[in-house]
Amino acid sequence: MTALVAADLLKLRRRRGLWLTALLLPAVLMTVIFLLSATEVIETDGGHTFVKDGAAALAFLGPILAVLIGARVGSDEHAAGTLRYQLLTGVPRERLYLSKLAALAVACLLLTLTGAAAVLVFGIVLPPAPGDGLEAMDVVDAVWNPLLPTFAYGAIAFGVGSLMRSTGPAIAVALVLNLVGLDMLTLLVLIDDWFRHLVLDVGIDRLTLNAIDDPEDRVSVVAGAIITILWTGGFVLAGWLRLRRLEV
Amino acid sequence: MAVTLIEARGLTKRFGERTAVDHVDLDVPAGSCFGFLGPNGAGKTTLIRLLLGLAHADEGRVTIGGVDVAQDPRTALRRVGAIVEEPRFHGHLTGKENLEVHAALLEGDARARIPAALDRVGLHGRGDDKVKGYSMGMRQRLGVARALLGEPTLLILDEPTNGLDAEGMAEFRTLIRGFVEREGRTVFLSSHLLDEMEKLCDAVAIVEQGRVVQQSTVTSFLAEAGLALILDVDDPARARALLAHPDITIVDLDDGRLRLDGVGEREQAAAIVKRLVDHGVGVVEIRRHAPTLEQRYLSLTRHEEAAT
Repeated sequence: MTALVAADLLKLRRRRGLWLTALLLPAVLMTVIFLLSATEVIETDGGHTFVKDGAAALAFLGPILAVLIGARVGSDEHAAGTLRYQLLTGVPRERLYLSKLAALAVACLLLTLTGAAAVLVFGIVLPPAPGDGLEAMDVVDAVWNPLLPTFAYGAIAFGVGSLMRSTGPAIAVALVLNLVGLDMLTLLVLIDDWFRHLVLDVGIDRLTLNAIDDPEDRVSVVAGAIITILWTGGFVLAGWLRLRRLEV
Repeated sequence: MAVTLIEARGLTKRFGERTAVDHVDLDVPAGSCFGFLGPNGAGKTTLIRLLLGLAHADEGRVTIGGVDVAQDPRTALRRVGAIVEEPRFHGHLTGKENLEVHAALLEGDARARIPAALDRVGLHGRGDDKVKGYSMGMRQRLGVARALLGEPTLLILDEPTNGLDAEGMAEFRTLIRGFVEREGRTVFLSSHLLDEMEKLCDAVAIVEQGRVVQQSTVTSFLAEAGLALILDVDDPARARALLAHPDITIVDLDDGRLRLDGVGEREQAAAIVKRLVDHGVGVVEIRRHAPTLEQRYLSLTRHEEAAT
């Protein structure tokens, strides 16, 4: 399995434009904010506030980058026509599918870690407001808060890629789902407050920002986990079912 | 008696109303080069996909080395390498990287065999070039290199000479015959290039509209055409009249020569020459007619068409 994941990561790494963008863009964004702050073009304190805001920025940017990667990983073998050559080795389809999902997880982790590292370094370098220094939980939040949505939307895009078997359309659909599509369900809250349980971002926010007092995120932790797993798992499962039945 | 490596029984595949593969029985002997001949759209690629478990048969079964492909694909395909339809790769990876990616799927130390595989197909020195810059011929070679990584006892190659120039085809023939004669591998080829198949194959199956209409060794397939002589004379009309006989069918060829079907023995040829010369007909040439695979194939498939 390790060899399969390494092979899938090799395919990704050789797409240098996508790979470097995904790894460096979060860090570059944070560097720009830091430089603007250090040269006093903008006023930003370091410490806890900087890390919290930086993690929020990563939680917006990370999923977009993960969509590009996930849709690519999910559809690549179909689009390249190489899936049949993988299948005729007799390797079970579930292993092929899971290795790609694992490669996506590694990619999401790496892009989150580079961004989070920049956020933390600049959060330490920039002087904090009084009483706003960094705490241990800030380090956890800087990684976890962007990582969860990044992987969740990456996995959804992966499922979409496997379903659609064409990279461009898969990216388009997954981006629409990421930016507006899944949040459209929030409109159902106008009918009944319970419908917030259908909104992926409500589940993710509950598991990351931990904002239990926020009326927008008023669901339990368990409900948050279920919402997140169901949405993410649903798309991954749909992609798997498509692959399982596919004749190539 | 040769051991059967691929055995298909009653193999059928339908796409809606259309039957692409129609109750095909196939026996491919181990250690031979087996040709699967048919026009485009005859069902060759679909049959190959069924043999490799890439598509599910509606009826029938396939075994490779005695193992059912549908039941246990991992075991059945362990020593099988293939090119299906066309060799496809990740264009953004180099040839070598594409093989590394494939080697990760194989058991054993397939990665260590990459340099030898590239060398074998004449891509040594081009392995570090990106595949998107490869010609079709180079992709075909790389496809064979990929197929060789698993040390296959059986190679299934679908239209492998597509995109190759004359020199490439000659090299490819040498490569394939080497697999069979020196290494004892079995090669299953599909093609519509009958001339190439005649040069390469030990046995053939003819496919027409999804059905195998004949399967035999190339030698016996050609021998079934029967005896014939080609006759070049100065007066074909007179020769025709002189040679009229219930056992001889005389066919006018395009270039003015005659083909005498039903005769071909040495003594028969001598008697024909004597009769013609005795009656004042000049004989320019007489020789035994050796039918090509293409002629046999066309005669068979036209006969099949007429029958249906």
